[in-house]
Amino acid sequence: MNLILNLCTIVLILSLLITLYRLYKGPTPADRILCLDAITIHLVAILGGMMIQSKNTYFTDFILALSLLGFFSTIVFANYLEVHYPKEENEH
Amino acid sequence: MSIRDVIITTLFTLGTVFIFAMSIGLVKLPDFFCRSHALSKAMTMGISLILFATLIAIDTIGVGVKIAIALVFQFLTVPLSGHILARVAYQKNIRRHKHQDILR
Repeated sequence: MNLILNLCTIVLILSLLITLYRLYKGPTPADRILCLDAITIHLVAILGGMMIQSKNTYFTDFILALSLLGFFSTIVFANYLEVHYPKEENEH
Repeated sequence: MSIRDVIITTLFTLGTVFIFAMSIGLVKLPDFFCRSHALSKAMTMGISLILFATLIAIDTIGVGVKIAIALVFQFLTVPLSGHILARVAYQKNIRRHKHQDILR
């Protein structure tokens, strides 16, 4: 069980690195906000794996706080985009 | 390995596969709206499975209630934030991927 959970944590960290690549590359600010949401959810998943493995309960409050932080920061950044970002001129 | 460990490991591995698929989609898809679609669907499934595995693995009832609250919150708010971002991007007329034939 421990081996499989370790492998899953390694895959999650790899996935976090791939998401960081999109955060670096993303052409529009909306892509970067999307990556912010994805990064907080990756952190929640990694903390869940640590809770299962180490059998202690210190990380519960961190899981709650990170999920709240991810959601509200996404909402606030979307509001910022709606107010301050200029409308682009694209033909569809 | 008891039957509970088998259930926990299976749920966690499934959630990891979903999250990794989301990450691949976030890099490979051509457009903001496609990426938002990948994040909203696969991420909701993956984080729900992982938090459910954590909920099974926990013995204390107070901690279990907190994890259950986090599960319901993530299940409700990940699609919501994706929808709000996609609506703002549609209002701002962000560049969209145009379908074109392979054999031109």
